[in-house]
Amino acid sequence: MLRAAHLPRAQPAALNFLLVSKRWQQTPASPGSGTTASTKSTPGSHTTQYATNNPASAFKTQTAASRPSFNAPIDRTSNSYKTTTSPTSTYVPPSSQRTNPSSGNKSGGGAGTLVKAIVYGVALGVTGTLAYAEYENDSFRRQLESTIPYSATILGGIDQVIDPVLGRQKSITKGITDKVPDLAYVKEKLPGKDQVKKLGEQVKDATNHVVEKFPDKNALKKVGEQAKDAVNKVTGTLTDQSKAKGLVHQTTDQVKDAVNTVREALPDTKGLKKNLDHVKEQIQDAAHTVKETVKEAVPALPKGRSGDSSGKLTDPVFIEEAGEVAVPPPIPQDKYKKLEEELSQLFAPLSTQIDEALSAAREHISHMKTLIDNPHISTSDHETWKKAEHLQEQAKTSYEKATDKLREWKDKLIEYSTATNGQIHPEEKKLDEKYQELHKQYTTSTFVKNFRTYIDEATKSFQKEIETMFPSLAGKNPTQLTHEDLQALLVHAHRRVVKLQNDMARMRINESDSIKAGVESARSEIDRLVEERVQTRVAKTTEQLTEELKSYEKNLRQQFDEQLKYEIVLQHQALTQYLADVLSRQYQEWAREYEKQLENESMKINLNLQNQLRSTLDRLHAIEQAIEANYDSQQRGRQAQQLWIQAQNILNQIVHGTTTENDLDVISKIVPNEKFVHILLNELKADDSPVTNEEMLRERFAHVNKLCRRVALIDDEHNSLWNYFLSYLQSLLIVRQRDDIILTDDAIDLNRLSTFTILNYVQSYLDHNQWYNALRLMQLLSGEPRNVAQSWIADTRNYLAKKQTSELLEAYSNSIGLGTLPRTA
Amino acid sequence: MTTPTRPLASEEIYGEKWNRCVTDTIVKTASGLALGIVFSAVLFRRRPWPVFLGTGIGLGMGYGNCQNEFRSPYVPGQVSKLATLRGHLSPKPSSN
Repeated sequence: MLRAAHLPRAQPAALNFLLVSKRWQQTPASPGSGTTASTKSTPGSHTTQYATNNPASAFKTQTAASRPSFNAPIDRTSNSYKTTTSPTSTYVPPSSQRTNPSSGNKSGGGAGTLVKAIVYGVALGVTGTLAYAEYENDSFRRQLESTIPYSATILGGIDQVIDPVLGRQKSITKGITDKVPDLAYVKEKLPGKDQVKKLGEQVKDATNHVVEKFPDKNALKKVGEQAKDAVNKVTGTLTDQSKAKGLVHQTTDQVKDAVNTVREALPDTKGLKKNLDHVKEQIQDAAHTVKETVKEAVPALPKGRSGDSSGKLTDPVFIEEAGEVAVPPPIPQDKYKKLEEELSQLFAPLSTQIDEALSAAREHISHMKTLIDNPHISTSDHETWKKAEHLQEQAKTSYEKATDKLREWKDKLIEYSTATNGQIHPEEKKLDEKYQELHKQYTTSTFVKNFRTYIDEATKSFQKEIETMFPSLAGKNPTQLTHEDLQALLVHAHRRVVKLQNDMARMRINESDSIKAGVESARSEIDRLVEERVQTRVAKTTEQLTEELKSYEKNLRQQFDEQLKYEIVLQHQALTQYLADVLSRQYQEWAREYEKQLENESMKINLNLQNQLRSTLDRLHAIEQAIEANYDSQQRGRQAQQLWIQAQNILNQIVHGTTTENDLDVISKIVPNEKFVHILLNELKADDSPVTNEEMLRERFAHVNKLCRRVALIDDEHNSLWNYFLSYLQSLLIVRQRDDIILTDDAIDLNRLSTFTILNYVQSYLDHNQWYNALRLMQLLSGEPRNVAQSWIADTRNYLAKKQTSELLEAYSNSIGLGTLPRTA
Repeated sequence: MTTPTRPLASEEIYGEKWNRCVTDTIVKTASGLALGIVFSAVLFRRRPWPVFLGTGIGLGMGYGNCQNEFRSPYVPGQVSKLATLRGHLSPKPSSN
């Protein structure tokens, strides 16, 4: 089909191809028919080219296939071949051109495909292993997780996806590694109960300290009352209006101060926090150290392997020998010392600085106090104000320095406290007190610094008021004031005083109310705070206590577990021992029993076998005998067969041919043991009579017959030749009765026998193969016919005797043969 | 006369006898004839009567011989089966 691809005329489509083919084919002479023959005559190599190059045109060839089939048988000349080879040769370049890039592509593609194949293979392998590990979830997965670093994470991720889908839980037992962790060892390494107790006590102390620092309610109440008294005092001494504001401010200051004192009377939050932090840190450190020791003590769990040999106890399930006692790591002494030195170094300058700051602040305050107390102070007294300011500035700077130094100190202290596991530096308390005082003084100084501004403001407002109310009076000097002015002023002042009194009263009331409210709120606030703090403290302490209790309990439990495990191990040992004993005993018993059974069974089997053997032997013997008998009988049968055959042979020979001595000898060879046969054979052998057979006898009889007829008239007496002639004549004249009716009626009339009749009878007897009758009858001949037939008679007699013996032999062989036949009922 | 070596069957005796008889007769007749001729030629001056006489004598002698032969149960000079079978007759060689 494909050979027809390059048919020019046949292709309807594939224009390029057609054009090319047409162009190339126009040169040779025969276009169509020659090329059509190419279907049959082109060699196969071209087809492969066309197959690679023209797959598209393959199906088109089917349309053209019919045409070349018609034309193909017509031309099969070399010419057509040549014409086809030329286009085929010219097709090579474009095909080669086409194949070259494809081959190039193929080579490039080959490498690319190789890479692809490798990538696919690797990806397949990885996915396969992951899938199997995920599916199996057992030893293979664990192996994988232990050997390959990130496989656990990958598998865990896959687990998260797959477990909900498949509904399998990450059972706790599967998380346990093969090797049971060395718990006793761990327990021994844990900080003992004493240590834990110590830590607990430390915690307790810290909490108590905190709680002690916590002021009780009475103190708070006292403070509150103090605040109230201060307020009352303030309101009581409130008379002077110029002082009023200041006093008001003062009172407010005092209130604030009282609040501050209250707040400070409360446990310093910072300090408290610090202490709590200390305590927390202590506990944390203790726990941390414990954890570290525990981590060091416990062997790396993920890498555990089962089957590692254990030490003291042979039971691999349970604990191993105890390790050494774990102690919290000793405090680095040198660091502690260093820190302590540093702190002590820092302490001195810091304390001096704080003292400085404190003194500065106090100075300022005292100055301000004098200013405040002095009613005649005026704003114009700049020196004092400046001094005040200066003092204030000093105080501020010193305070800031102090605070900075204090921060440093605080940091160092924290470090120190961490290093010393919470031991507080002895000078810390002092510094704390000092700092508190400083802080107090500083606040008052900052407050007091504003005194001047208040005063200025107050005067300004007063002036403004005067100007607004009495503008006319404002410009005048105090000496110029008229009576009316003074009266107006007095009225104003009176009014003002009344107003102020009213205001004061109102304010008093308001203030009392507000103070009460403030106090109440402060108290409530305090109460709430106290409650809160109490609660928090209580909660924390309870928490801590519970934690401590829990840890204690855990420790106890662990100890108990350890004890239990130990006991269990002992029991296990005992049990195993006992089991071993029992098992061994049981085994011995059973072994004995089974041996007995085995013996019995074996004896039985032995007997059985012997019986079987005997029976089989008997059977075998019987079979052998049977076979021998069979063999004998077969032998006899064979002998009989052969005898029979031979007898038949002999008979045949006697009847038809001649017997030889060989035949008789053969028989004697066949049956050397048979007496009867021997007798017969002897009889046969002894027979000297000439060999005759039936045919001969018959012939002779014919002859004899003729002769007897010829000499029928001649009897024993002296006969002449004339009688001979006469008898001859007679024989010519008498015709034999040729029918078999003679013998049908058996009765032969013996009285009416004559030669001719006898001869007829004998002839018919012989025709019917009744030799014995024939012989008998022949013997009734008399006279010359008798003489003539004498030898014949004798021969026949002999022959018949022989035949009889051979027949006897045959019969005997038959009898033997019959005897050997299988007896069928 | 050649004597057959093998013993003759009884039926063959008859044939044999006839052979002998005929041959004998012929011989005798021929010899008689010859003698007759001779005698006629010699003694009796070629008278036919000695020929005929001689022939006749010859014939007669042959006939007589034949007859005698036929009468005897054996062929002279032959051993017959019968004789041997009967046993009381020893085979005697014939000189004829």
